[in-house]
Order: sequence, then C-alpha cells, then structure tokens
Amino acid sequence: MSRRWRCGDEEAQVILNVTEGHSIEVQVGDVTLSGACVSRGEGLFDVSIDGRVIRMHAVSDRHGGFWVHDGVQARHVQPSEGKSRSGGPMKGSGRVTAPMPGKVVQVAVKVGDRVEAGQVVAVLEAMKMEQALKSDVAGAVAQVLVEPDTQVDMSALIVQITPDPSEGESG
Amino acid sequence: VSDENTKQRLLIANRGEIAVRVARTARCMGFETVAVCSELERGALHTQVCDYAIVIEDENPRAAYMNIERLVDIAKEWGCTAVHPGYGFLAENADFAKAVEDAGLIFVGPRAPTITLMGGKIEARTCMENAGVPVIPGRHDLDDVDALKAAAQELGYPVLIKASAGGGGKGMRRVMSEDELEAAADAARREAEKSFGNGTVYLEKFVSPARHVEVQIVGDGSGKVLHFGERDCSVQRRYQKIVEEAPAPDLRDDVRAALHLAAVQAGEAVQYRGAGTVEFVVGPDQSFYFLEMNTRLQVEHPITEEIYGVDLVALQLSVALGEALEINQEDVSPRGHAVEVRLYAEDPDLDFMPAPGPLLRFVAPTGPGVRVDAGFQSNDEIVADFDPMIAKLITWAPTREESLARMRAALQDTVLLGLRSNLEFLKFVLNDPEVQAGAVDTGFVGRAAWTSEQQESTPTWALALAEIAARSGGSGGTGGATLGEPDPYSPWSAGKVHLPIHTNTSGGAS
Repeated sequence: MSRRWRCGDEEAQVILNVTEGHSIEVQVGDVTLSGACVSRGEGLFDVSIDGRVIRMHAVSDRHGGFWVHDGVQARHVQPSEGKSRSGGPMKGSGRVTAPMPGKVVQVAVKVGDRVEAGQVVAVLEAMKMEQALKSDVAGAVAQVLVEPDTQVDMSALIVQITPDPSEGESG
Repeated sequence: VSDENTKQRLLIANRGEIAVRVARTARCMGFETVAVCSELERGALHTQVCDYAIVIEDENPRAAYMNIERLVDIAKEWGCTAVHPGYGFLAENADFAKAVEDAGLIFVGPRAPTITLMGGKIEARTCMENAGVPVIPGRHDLDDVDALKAAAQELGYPVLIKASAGGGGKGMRRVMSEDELEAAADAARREAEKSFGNGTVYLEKFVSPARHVEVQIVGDGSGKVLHFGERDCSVQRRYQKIVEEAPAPDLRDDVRAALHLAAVQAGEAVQYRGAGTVEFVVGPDQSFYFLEMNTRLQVEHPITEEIYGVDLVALQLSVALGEALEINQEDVSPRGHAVEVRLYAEDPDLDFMPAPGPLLRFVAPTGPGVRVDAGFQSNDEIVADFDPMIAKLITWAPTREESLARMRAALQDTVLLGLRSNLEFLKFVLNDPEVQAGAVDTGFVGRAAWTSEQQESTPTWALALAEIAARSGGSGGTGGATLGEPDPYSPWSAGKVHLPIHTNTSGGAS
C-alpha cells in the first residue's frame, strides 16, 4: 500500500512497511528511512532513529492532508495526484490571486492594459494592512474579476494577465 | 485589595495574550475579573481565565473591544470598579478613558488629557521639543501635494510619512524619492483613517541606520516617576517589533543614563500616571531623538519585568487604586538579560502577511528562564479580524549570550501546526551572527537573506509521517475524521509497549 504525498515543492511516493514489532521502514521516493515508531494517539508519534527519540506530530488538516512536525519544523503535507503539483498558481501563470482573505481597496489596471512583471495591479486590505498585489509576468490584462470594496476569499483570482508570448505559459 | 465589602472588579477591555496576562495579575491581587469577547471568540482563553465573560454581539467583531458606550455599560452593569484597556484597541483613546472615569470607574492608565497630548504625535513632538528633549527633524501642516513635496525636499530623502494618530506601523510609509511621495501619502492617509479615524499625516526625516530603544516609566500621578530601564526593539518588520531585548546591547553608559533621564523628565512634565513607554531612535553615533510616547502597557513589557523582577501590571493596578509608589529609583536595578519574540500567524515568504487559520496544535516551550505569554491554545482559531499574534516567548538568563541560547532552544521546542507562522523566521533571526554579535539596526529584517526554501531541509520524514498518520489514525485521504483514538488494530499502536531504544547494559560507553 502506498500513496503519493506532497510538501511544498517536494513530492514522493511513500511506501510504509512494518517489519517487526514497532520497527518500520519507510520508502520516500528513492530514500529509505528506518526506525521504530509508536503512536501515542492524538496525532503524536514517538520515533526512534539510531538511538535518538523524537516526538513527532501529525494532525489532520481536515482536507485529507496533515500538518506535521518532524522534530525540527512544521510542514504541511497533502495528498498528491501524482502527475504534477496541484494547488496554488504556478509562477509565470499571470494569475494574480489573493494571498489571504481580505478586501480589495484598489484595482490599478483595466482589461487591455499592458503590465510589467512586478507591477502592482491591485491593493488588498486585511487586518487593516494594505498589501500590493503584483503581476508575476509581463503581459496584457485579460480579465479583472473584482471591483474596489469587494471582499475576497483566500486564493481568489483578482486579475488574469495573458503573459507575453516570449515568456511562455509553461510553469 | 480584597475585603468582601470593597471587592474590586476589573473589566478587561481586550483579548488575546494581554487580556490573559492582565487577568492573572489582577486575580493574584484579589480582583474579580470580567472579560469581553466577540461572537467569534466564545470560549477563548482570555474568557476562560476571567471570572465572568460577556459576549458582545455585533456585525463587526472588533466592536467588542472598540465600542466605548457598550464597554462602559457592561462595566457598570456587571458591577466593575475599574477598567484595564490592555494595549491596542482603546488603550490610547482619551474618549474611552474619560467615559470610564465619567461613569465613576477607575481607568487603569493615564488621565485622558495625557493620552490626548501624547496621542497626537505632532503635539507630542512639540511638547518634547519644549521640554528640551531632542526630536527627529520633521514637518507638519501638509495641506496639499506641493507643501508635502516642498517639505520632503527640505528634509531630504528618504523620508517617513507618519499618521499623527498612528502607532504600530499603521499609516506609516517610507518614501525614497519624490515620484513615490503622493501615492505613499494617500495610502498612509487611507490606512490612518481606517485604523485611527484620523487621516492627518506628517513627515519625518528617516534616520538610518537607526536603533529603536525605549524606556519604561511608571508614574504615580502626583509627579513621582520611576524608570525601569530600556528595551531594544530594533528587529522589526513592517515597522512592527518581532524581537526585543533588555537591556539594550552595545549602548554607552552615558547614553543609557541620558535616555533614562529624558524619559523620566518627559513623565514628570505631565505628572504621568501609570505605566508608559518613551520611545527613542538612536543613531549610529548613539545620538538619540524622541520618537513617541505610548501611554499604555507595551507588548514587550515582560522583558522589563524579567530583568527588574517587577510586575508592571501590579504596579499599574495599585497606582490606579490611588496607592503611592512605595519604591524609589535607587531600590530598583536590572539583573541579567531578557529576550522576547512574538509568534505570529503570518507568512514570512509573503512579506509577513497575516495568515489566519486554525491553530490545530500549539506546544509551548518550558524550562529554566522561559516564560510564555500566550493568548491561544490548541484548537483555537486565529481569525482574520484581529492582530495575528499567537503568543510571546520570553527568556531570561544572567547574560545576553545565555538568554539568546535559551531562546533558540525555546523556539526549537515550540510546535505550531495548522497555519503559517513566523516560527522558522524567528529561529533564523536568533541564529543570525549579526544578532548574536550585538546590536542591530531597524533595517536588519529587510537585509536578512531569508527564504523558507533555504531554511528547510528535505521533508523526507514529513512525507513519511503523513503516510504513517494516514495508516495509523485512519483519517488520511478522504475521511477527514479527527485523529482522536489510536487505532487498536494498528500494528504499532502504543498499548503498554515501550519504544525500543538503545539500552546501556554494559555500563560503559557504547
């Protein structure tokens, strides 16, 4: 039994084998991890590797993935479809999205405008802070999906820019 | 304070860690405490630590902490004798202080006119100038674009546009050249109008490189003012402090003494009542200028408490009750070194944008010299309507080096799951050689070459853990069920079995 998991830009097929007692062997891509693991419930796992005992955490993110702590730092791990990275917009896509929920206070471009990479196309306000939303490509504004004073959700598409042909659309 | 007939009851008009912190001291002093909260925050930690909690229903969750009339009504209705504003919200709102006192209640803070005077940054500058305290070169009365441009030209770029009613970096913009000026001023005005209801802005020369050093004072309202030393708050992002320490490193003794004196004089000039902070900008030659005075408890007050062995909230409350300050300046002296970091739900990769979300798990550090002032606990929600600070970690040790080491260890021991936080960024800052060597200036975060990718090792174990968790709790993939009970059929369910680890049987080194 194995599944494909993704963490940021890294993803791998993960195969878990319970060898004997609490010993486990986990194949993560082409790396093999081995140690002993005891579940303490509540998403707590005590893992022993080479004599070191590490308290690890894995808490369901309620969407099929986990927020995990490997004893060093917190990470968000999500199931992967396998083919390509899913989720957020890719660099160079020309999609300007809301990095968090908030209110659009200003839209600085209209359909047909030319924009340069790094140009501010809209201003989002959240928690009373203003955040300039910039285009990640040079191109032409294809769509403006919001008006000033619109409340938007996280990842909502604000402005779609058609990247200049030379930049290509591969991400 | 607590004799049955004169039982004091304190309304805490705030939320998060500061409401929790105030409630803890108030309880020790015999106060009963009353919390308020918005509908989003029913059951929040600050409502748990108080004796009573009142939910303020309003379309706008911030009304729970901003609606003067309702807060005063609740204070009266619930038999409160005093009101503590915490920081932020109405803490520096003179109308609130006045409304509380007009209702016959004690306001735990300075008198309303002091708040008004220091709240107008322009007026405060003038007051300090008259008192002989050096202020940063600046210009106000900027009625139109031409006046603005002329003033900026005269001061010389870069300049800072600041909101007169401002604080916490809101309504503030740094402007490098004239072509940015107008847009920056508009944005600052808009932000100031929204945050403080007053869009007045002024210009200041941008002192760079600069350190931010502030002095804690406490006054009894009759002219006696004590200082509790200084704090260095130079590690900032978006003009908001994220790492603070006391005492300030690498400060000449004569400069330190002059800062303390200037702060006490500032307090004496207004017969200051309660706890306040006088903020200064310190230039590369250690010349200093008055920045502003905060007429409230600061977020970073615990580092002062740690090195002076004093409870500033207790002092605030006893001064508010009309008790004279029994200690004198010669009775207080600092010991050791304290560091504070602020844990925020924010994304360091996205210019520190707030990243609200569920705090699925929060494991706080502990150990010698470690203090945690938290406003939240596991399974709380960090909501978008409020400041995204989750907790403050404070460490104390005899020396700066040891205090920083304790903080690094405390950060390592902290687990925050469910949302993006600045935890890794804080580890990066505390590991930075420049920070470890001594004082840094306020440009540090901007220069710091931070990227999360650079920090992260390959998440091999993280990927493995997801699979382990999915298999063990049965909640991976599609289910979404909570990882409540371990699966008894899971091959590595704990039971009574001990984790196999190395055992020393020979008595010698392995």
